[in-house]
Amino acid sequence: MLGFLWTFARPLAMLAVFTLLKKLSRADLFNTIPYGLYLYSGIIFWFYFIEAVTSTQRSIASDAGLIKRIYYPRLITPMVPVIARLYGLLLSLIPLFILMFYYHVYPGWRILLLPVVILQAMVLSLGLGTLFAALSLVKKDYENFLSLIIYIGIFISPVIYAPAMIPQRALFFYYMNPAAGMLLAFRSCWFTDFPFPFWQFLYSCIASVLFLIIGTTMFRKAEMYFSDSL
Amino acid sequence: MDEPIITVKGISKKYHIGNPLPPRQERKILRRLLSPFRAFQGMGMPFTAPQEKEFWALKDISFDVYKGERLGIIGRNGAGKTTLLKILSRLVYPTEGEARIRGRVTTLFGVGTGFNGNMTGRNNVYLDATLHGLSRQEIDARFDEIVEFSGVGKFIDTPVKCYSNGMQSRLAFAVAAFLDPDILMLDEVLSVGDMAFQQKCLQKMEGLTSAGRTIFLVSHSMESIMRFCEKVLWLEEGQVVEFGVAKDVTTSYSKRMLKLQASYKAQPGIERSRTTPVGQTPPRDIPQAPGAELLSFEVLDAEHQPKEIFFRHEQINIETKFRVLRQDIPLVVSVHIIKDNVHVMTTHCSKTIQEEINTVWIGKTNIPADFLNTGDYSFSIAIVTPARPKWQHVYLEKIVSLKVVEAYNPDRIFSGEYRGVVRPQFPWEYIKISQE
Repeated sequence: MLGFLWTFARPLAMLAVFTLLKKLSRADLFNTIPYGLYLYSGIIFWFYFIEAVTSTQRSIASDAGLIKRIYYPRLITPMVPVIARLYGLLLSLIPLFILMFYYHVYPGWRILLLPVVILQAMVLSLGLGTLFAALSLVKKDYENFLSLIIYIGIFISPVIYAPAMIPQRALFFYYMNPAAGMLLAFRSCWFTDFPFPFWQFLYSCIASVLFLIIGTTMFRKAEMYFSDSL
Repeated sequence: MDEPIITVKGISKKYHIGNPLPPRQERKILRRLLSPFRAFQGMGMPFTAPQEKEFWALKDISFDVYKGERLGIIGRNGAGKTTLLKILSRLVYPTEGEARIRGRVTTLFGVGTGFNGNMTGRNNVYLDATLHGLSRQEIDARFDEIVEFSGVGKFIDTPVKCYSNGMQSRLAFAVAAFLDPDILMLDEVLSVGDMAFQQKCLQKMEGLTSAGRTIFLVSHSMESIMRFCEKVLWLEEGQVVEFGVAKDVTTSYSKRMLKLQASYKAQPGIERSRTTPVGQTPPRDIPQAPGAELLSFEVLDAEHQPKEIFFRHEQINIETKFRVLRQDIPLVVSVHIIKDNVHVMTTHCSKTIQEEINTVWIGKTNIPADFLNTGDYSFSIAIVTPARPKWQHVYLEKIVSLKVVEAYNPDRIFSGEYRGVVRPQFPWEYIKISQE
């Protein structure tokens, strides 16, 4: 049993593959900071986000045993994975520290903003998760739709490349993705040289709160059908 | 006592056969979910025409329950008992109507405890109790009691999937009982576990009600209901058949469902008694007219009311009303008691009766308390002329039946069933004859 070491396996494997690809292809991904740092920091936060969203969406089905048996405020169920997955994120920070030490890149005062960024990611995950939990209760199609979004998501968000790669005209639409501001802000907290994407992050925060309101509202309404359809 | 702890008003629950959420319902829910966000409407709407078969699991149920009451819920399988409990424990939403519950409810469903199999007993107890709103300190304080009561002992740190069904159920009951809810609902939980544990459960429930807790008990066992409940709700096909004092409801339930019948009344003109010879009577000896006519045959309780379910400690009074039709022959009323097709006994007066024509008589006897065993007994009635040749004027087989149940008694020596068709209380004593 390697236990918690598995938490690193996926981001580290991705790091290895993409670093190799970049080297072999000599592609320019418009990074201003060492690629390893950019990629790894993006990947761990992205993984936290999508895992939180998918397990939130599935939480109702996986807790069916409890839901059919005990009444408790149902919003607890989707909140559990959002909080529990933070542990994995925390563990994934260990290789990040090693990488930062290796590249001699250190965080500045913006590290203080990290809780805000993480909170925004939690809010967005919970919002999306509850939204799709409520919808997929009625139609399984929404579950597939969510996995499609998540699958595409890594390519339309600044995870493996920098937004500078995107043509100027398309940038407006690119930043409509609330995960974009979130990912950039996360990196900015760690790396002094990485500018803080103020407007993009502000937009992400507003979008997250909106998603949270819509998601939880729908979730609360869907609650009364849980027992009937599980 | 003035305000009911549970008020149920016109609750109905509709289900759909085949699909829990049929297309039309699905669209309705989607519309509700999306109502403030109209722009999304139309997403994922089905194209198939809806084909719905609906049925009402509950229809217009209303009743009140007061604090400290023990309510039994009876009815056939599929009568809606579990659905009702689910609605009252807020797990299922009623299609119509409302229920007001003033207090914390804990429900224990008999089938499947719902524990997480991969978690240890300890973790499951903590999880359940936490979800029921207990703080860590409160659970810590009760934990030892719960383990002790469940008898799970050293297996408390073993994953629940390794438990036997009995162990799981015992642990589940222990958790539910020690959560100290205002209202405890038990759905067929007494049917699991051995007799000793059932006794323990009943004792615990007794303790809870004396502490002012309200208890709902769903059971198919008339015996548990009779023993334990003051009030009974009888459901059939989702509707209330009867709601009231336990004795009355169980009586009518037993009549309808268990085919028990405490009272037989002859219908004038229909049940004309015909006299038949018994044994090898020569044809010419057949009497021309019967010697008596049965008017009624009843088993009665101490208050002189016909009753189908008796406690073992009650005396069963038997009364036979008949009209004498012939003066020239002696008559004897005899009662046969049958249990499980075993003829337990025959009883009759040691004297015969020979009286005026058209006089009406009542033959009275009783079965003393603590004589019959628990179970169903049937009674046959015969009015015969014992002199040779024996004439049988009336013979009606198993026209009256009753059930004998054991009252709840925590001090019983044996908790199991006693063998034997009868169980009389004989005088017993121990005499010391030596001291070593």
